[in-house]
Amino acid sequence: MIRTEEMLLNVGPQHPSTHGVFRLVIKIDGEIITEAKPVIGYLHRGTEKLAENLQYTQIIPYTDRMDYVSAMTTNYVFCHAVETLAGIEVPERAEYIRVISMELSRIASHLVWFGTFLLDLGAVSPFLFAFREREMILNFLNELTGARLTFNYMRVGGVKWDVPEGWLEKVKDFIPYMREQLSGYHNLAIGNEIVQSRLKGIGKYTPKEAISYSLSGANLRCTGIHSDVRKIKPYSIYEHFNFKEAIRNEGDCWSRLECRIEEISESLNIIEQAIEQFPKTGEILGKVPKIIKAPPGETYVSIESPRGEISCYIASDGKKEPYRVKFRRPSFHNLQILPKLLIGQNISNLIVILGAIDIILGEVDG
Amino acid sequence: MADEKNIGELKKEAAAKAKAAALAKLNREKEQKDKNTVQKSSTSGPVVKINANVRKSQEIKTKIDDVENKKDFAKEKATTTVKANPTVQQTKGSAKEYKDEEKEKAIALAKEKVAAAAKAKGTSSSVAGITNEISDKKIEVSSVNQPLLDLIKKEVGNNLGSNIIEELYINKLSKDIPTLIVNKNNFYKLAKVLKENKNLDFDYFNHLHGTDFQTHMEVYIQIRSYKNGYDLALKTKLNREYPEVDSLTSLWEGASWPESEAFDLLGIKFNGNPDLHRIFLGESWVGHPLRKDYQPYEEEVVSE
Repeated sequence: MIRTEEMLLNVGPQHPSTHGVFRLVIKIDGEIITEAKPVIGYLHRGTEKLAENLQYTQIIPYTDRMDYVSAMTTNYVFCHAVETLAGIEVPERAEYIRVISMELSRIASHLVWFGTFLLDLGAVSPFLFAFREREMILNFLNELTGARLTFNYMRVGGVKWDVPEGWLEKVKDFIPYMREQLSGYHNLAIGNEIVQSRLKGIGKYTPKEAISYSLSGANLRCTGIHSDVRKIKPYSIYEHFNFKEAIRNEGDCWSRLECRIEEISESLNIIEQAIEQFPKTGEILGKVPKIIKAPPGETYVSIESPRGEISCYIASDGKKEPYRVKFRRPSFHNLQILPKLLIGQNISNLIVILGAIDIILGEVDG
Repeated sequence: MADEKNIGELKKEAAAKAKAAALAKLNREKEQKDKNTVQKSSTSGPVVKINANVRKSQEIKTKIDDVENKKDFAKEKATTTVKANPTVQQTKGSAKEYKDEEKEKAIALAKEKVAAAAKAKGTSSSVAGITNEISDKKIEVSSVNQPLLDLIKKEVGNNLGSNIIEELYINKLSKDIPTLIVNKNNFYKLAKVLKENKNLDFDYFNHLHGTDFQTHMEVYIQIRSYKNGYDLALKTKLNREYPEVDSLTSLWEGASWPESEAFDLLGIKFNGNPDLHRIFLGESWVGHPLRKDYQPYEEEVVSE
């Protein structure tokens, strides 16, 4: 028997593989993790407190900074909550623009994840390819919104700018290109035996555990539970599109990878249909008063972000500022299962398991 | 060590001062406030609407029955969902001038959905008749949750007695979610029934947060049953000075961090949570920022 010693190891908060400022204190016995304690809060900016002193439209830029890899979805969930509370109607054309931009965001977000996840595994080239494609999407969004990451694009009742001329055609041309690249990814990395053997059976949990830990998004769907909010509680115009929900049954890191890659191709399908159905004319902003006042009451709406179910709660007392704003941030909930997954694992699997959860620290810390 | 102690004391002193100032401010504000305070709007506002909601849901219900007679519910589904969902309302108007193709597409989609739902229903045939009826209605008009509210009332009544729920209503402003308000002493008991009852089966803990309503604290949770497709909001009111409530971590592991978040930012204590800690701000932080009377302790800014 080899004598081993228990050691305390501090991962982060400044470590490239934690994808942000996230600290993990682990105890290892030899190479086996015996205890893990996540420490978060380094990026807590008090968005919910700040929002209490701002008017509804002024809060939108703050939502950009929560999930900064897919700001469109966070933008949308807040606007959607205000619209639900105040009963504001959104023109169809605006909804189409929103869906196209959200799905583009989702692809960009999954590409970031795909690239960095494989980079964590030690595969450098997929990162370069994934970021090449992501750059094209960011250019589209830049052209649409004037920003690459923090868009501040959606407004209560619609969107800020109309689509530029020729933009839809460019996005349409991108779809077949991206499909081709996806099969390239498969040849390059996903079909690679080393990648597969590195991921299969790692970080496994059962559907029961996944539900008990409030997981959402690909983390929940990888255990076979139908939980895509776009399907189970359709919002916006998602009912107009024919797309599949990415479901796997294994519950390990590999199935999460497969789920996200499938979501990219499903998002492409949605964008394709949206461009086909896109209304030629119409308003991009509904009839919204200059100063938005929501009626007294409370609302809670959920949508599907790339990381899972993101929700927004607003309590209003009838003033132009909300009384209380609260976001259900999927990364925060998804991260909770990490200590459980790490115990008993070899330390070399730590980064894989953490990476497969797909956290954005801006969202974890709020 | 001595320095640390001093700083600690200073911090506490400053916090106490801030608190006193805030309380005075609050009292002044309270006097000025008329009866249209938040408390009223947040609790009794939606309650007033119950009757109207019930009426509306009944109307829709009868409409559905009519449609079922015609055996044409796939088509009706396409239109009722449009009607029910305020965000998609405008599609109804434009659909007429819109292509017929699209309408057909929507109908085909709806048909598919109904077929899928029927399939799903087949797998969970153990659920009582009333549940089936509800899931039928839910699929057809997603926004009308009155039958679910009745089911919850019945099941909770069977298990804990009908007096346990203080208020129940459908929150029209929140996509028609059934909402229960319960006394804090019964909070855990009710959550346990909602989770473990076979007909309800709320196994997924979606969300928890607290709100400072100045007269009281409120804890709001939202739970879901993936098997039945139900969503439910549950609220409880706490004493503002000593907010305490039983933890739900023994029912749902996922409740632990959200509880810590509410503890950190609002000072709500969750009894029985083994890992309750100041998750964002750290143990040395003075005060709870999301309280309305919170005064930030600014070390850097010294005004003399």
